[in-house]
Amino acid sequence: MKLFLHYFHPLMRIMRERQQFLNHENVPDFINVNLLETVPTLTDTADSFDYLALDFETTGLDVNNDLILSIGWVEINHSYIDLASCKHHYINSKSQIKPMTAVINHITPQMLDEGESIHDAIKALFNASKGKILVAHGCIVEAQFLQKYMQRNFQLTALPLLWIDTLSIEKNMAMSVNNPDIDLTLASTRERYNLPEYNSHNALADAVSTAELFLAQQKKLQPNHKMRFGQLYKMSQ
Amino acid sequence: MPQSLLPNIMLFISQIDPFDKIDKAELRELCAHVKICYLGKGEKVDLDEVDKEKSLYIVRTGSMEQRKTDGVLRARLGPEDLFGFTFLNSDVNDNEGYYATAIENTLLYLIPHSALQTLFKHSPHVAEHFASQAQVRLKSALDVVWSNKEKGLFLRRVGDIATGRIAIVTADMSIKKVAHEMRNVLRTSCAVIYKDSQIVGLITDRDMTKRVIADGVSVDRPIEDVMTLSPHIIKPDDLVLHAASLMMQYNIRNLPVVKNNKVIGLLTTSHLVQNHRMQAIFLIDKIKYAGSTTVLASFTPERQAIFEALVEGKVAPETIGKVMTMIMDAYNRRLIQIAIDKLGPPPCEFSWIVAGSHARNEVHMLSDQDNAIVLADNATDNDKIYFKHLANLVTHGLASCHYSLCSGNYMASTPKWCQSLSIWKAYYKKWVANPEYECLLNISVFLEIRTIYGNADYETELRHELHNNIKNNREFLSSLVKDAVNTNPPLGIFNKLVLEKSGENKKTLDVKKYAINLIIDLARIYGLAVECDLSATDERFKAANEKGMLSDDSFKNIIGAYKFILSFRFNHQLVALKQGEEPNNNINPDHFGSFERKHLKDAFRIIADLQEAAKVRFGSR
Repeated sequence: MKLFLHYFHPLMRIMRERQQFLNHENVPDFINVNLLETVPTLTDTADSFDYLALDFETTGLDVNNDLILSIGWVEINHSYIDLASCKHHYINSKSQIKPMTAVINHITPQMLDEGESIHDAIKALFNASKGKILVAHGCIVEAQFLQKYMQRNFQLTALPLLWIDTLSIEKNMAMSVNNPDIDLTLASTRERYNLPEYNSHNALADAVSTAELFLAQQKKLQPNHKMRFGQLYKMSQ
Repeated sequence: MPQSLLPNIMLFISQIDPFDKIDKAELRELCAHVKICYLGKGEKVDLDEVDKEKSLYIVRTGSMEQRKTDGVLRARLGPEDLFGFTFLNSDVNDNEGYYATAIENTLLYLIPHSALQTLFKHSPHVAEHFASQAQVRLKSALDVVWSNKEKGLFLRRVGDIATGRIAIVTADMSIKKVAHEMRNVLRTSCAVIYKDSQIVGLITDRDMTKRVIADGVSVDRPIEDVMTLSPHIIKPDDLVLHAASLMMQYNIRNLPVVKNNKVIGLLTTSHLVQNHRMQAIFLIDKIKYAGSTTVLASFTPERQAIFEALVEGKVAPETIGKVMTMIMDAYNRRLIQIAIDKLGPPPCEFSWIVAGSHARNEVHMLSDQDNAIVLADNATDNDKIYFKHLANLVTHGLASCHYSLCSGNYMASTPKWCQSLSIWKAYYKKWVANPEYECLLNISVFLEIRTIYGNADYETELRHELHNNIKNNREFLSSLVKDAVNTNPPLGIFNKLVLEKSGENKKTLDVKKYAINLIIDLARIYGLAVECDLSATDERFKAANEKGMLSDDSFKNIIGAYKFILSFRFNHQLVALKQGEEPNNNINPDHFGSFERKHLKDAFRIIADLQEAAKVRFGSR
């Protein structure tokens, strides 16, 4: 019975998807470095893994029409956020920028001129994620844009990455105490955790903000002992 | 960190002392190595853990407390506070380990030791700001606040202005030869006399007139027959102010400036008058010749101006205390003279004794009066009536000059404190023998006494009596300790317990009650333990240090803390005075900068440490 339940645990499911993906698809090596090295089990503790908190700034939420403007990330190693590992890539896509969104996101056309190609940035991201689990606030955006990219450039129909979503964790926690109406934006969520106010709309600042929130959430979920990764992953669905 | 950097984190760190002293580029480099961690309530950071990289920790949100390994609370920390300092100096063998615990969920920024080392290598001057010892940090705090750049009036050193020439002669020279040396060779009014390469005497042209010509002494006699023995001398790096006070106190006009037993110059009264408008001295002069209490009272604004000039001139706090004391002495003496003019000559010998902060030479703008009269043992009841009138005139005179009456009535106008020498001796005996609460209160006022008028021998006799009594009853010191450690310095400024509601209902920190008084109490205990005749707080600690009762480290620490807190209070009072408000000791913690907060915490910790040490050393079992 226990084994049966384990089978349907989201973590087990994604690991099976990942196995199939590796068996069938012709996966570029730079993706494999992420997929092959992290194989969590249900009993591993969350702090036994390293994480990469990331954030994309995009022109909108439509993966078919919108573009990635910038990507920022930071590593969390042994539960310490390491600012030395910070990376912030402005993606060179000036021709496709809608001027309006650039204003909202505080990205000037100049920044975009100086940006780099999306291919280099994504490659660097996957290299940085080697042996790490990805963390994002509302990871659906990042996951979908990444998958779209893979589909366009490598004709991959799926991308079974392991994501921890701090927004979902927050939402699930709120649901469990019957409080579904809270504001789940990164800034408001951080405020509830008494985390400092960082200016947002900057991919790197949001990545660091997410990383801090992620550490704080674990303490809230398990104040007194170590969190199991399986539980965390389930909360993050 | 990429070009975009993280303005939020850098901005936060850049506002914290000492990071605010690092230039932007270096700070950015340092911030690029920051690590962030999040502690749940109750989680510990073990600063002694062997394999972990040493870091400097900055509290971003939340709060922590530091405890020593034996569990004693060391400090409470909130946002912007730093800890982990101890490890910055790798050659300090720090056996005083401690750990830090989150008392609520806390976000910490860590700056790895290695990143700081790199910074120090590139900019060695920054290293001092990060010095590991609180004592070094306090010292650098004083330097920052009181930069020596603009040497104010009161900061001048004797060496800067003492240009006078002085003849140097030996004790066996004839009076005639010395006069020749002075008059014809050096054209100076003063000669210093050596014997066996020690300075033994001084002679001036006025002395020649008085002691040689007027007394008809043969000019062939050796000079040592007529010279002033053991003259007052001054060091070139003493404050001009100190020289001025010596000259006034002993009514002398010539002070040889001596360095390593070598005379290098002469300071004369004309130096002071010609070169420097010594406001304080002018005021004292005016006080000396004031004809009435009303005139004296009119000087209050001038006194306040001097106080402000001293604080603004960044004069060392103990010097400020001394200057303000000199002025108060002058008021007090003049008022006694005015009273005697009115009442007629005193019917018997007496001495006017001041106590408390006035006796310790630690007067400030808030000081009230503590004084007493000691009468000769042959004083009659009628005599006592005379002194009751005298005391009333003087204490009320002081009050009208804004030295408020003592709320505890520790004044000469209270019959109990206007008594004969033998009764005073009996008081001390009783107090030391039964250090009950009320007695402790009395005695702590009269543990410091200083004569400012009349027979100074009474003071000496009383102090002797006190020391003898204490020697015979060591329990007394332990009672003093028990009383002194009753109040603890706040280990976290935001600790609600120590913030008191002041008049306007604002939560404030009483820096006198929770810091200054604690230091003074400790100084008294150490001073009495080594039978120090001096009563100034710093001099008592110094005496205890010289007698080996206080380690060099503890000594430097407590003196540093004392000076920092005193100047902190003076500045607070200055601000009040400038705004036309009544100065007080209550400080609103919202007004502390990061710099003050950190140094205050260091100071509080040093006080707590010394309280502990005193408990161990003098405490009763």
